[in-house]
Amino acid sequence: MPVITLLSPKGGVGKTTTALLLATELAAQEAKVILVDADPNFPLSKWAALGGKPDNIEVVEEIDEETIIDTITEARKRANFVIVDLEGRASGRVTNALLVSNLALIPMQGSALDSNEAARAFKNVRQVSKHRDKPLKFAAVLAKTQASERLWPRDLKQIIAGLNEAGIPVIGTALADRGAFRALFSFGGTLATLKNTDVGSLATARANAAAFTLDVLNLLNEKAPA
Amino acid sequence: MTQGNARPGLANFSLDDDDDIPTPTPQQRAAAREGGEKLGFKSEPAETSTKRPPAPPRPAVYTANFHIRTTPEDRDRYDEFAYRHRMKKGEAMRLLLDLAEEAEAARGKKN
Repeated sequence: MPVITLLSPKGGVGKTTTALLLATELAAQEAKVILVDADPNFPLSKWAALGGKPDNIEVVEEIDEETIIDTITEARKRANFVIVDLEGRASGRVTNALLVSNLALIPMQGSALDSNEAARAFKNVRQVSKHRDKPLKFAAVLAKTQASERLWPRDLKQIIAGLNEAGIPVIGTALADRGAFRALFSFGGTLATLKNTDVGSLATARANAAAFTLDVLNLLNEKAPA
Repeated sequence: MTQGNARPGLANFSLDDDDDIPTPTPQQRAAAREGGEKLGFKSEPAETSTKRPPAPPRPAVYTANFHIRTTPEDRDRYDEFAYRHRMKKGEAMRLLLDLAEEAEAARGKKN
């Protein structure tokens, strides 16, 4: 079953939020999802401890570089989707997780710092892909953006142009910086269980997460490049 | 992709429907690690304990108390010598006696 890995050597770019949104959206479609929490701060375990975790989502903690391959391989036998959330730093654990992933997603925001670190992540994805029997699909995720594309800063637009120029796929739906997404980590549960009284623009946030998940599934279904 | 074929008897024309990723061989892992390290994706050192290793048991040595009367200047010299060599006073005394006996033996050979 597919393994989607979120990575970026930079912290705070939206890896964990993206992982959680993907997991909860897929779980809402009756899929059994295992979230591998590979961040030593265990943010996903903390989310699970808040309550409201769907029964078909399992959170597994794994921060050992040597055993992460076995953990992911074991998880994929038991679930429809395995989502790996790596910590925000460059480590051997990232390389090993990529060896057994079907799709690598690299969240980034519209800043030079983010794009520099993302570029390093793309290089590692490409080099790992060369050493596998199957090529590794990958894409950039625009995270924590302004909700309206018209308000996107020039830096971000330039970064997107650079990604396109380099032939790096970008997930069509950006994940905007939304209170509802952040609220998942304070209330627990999913976007479906949050209430309008808890956060604003909930319907828009749900639509955003659903569209993003659909884009990811479409990319996963695409034929891998030779 | 993730769903089983509803009619398994029908041929599947998808070229990439298999989500399975073979477990990487040790050679693949080593090559990927080497490539990753060049990009700064370094292996973390094994967890090292910050605790000091326990000190080896010290053999018990019987020491005797010894009072010496000397001039304040010689006492200062002696204290300064032991401090300069980071020695205990007893060790300093042994060293000075060793050196004195060596010098005595050398003088004896000359004569």
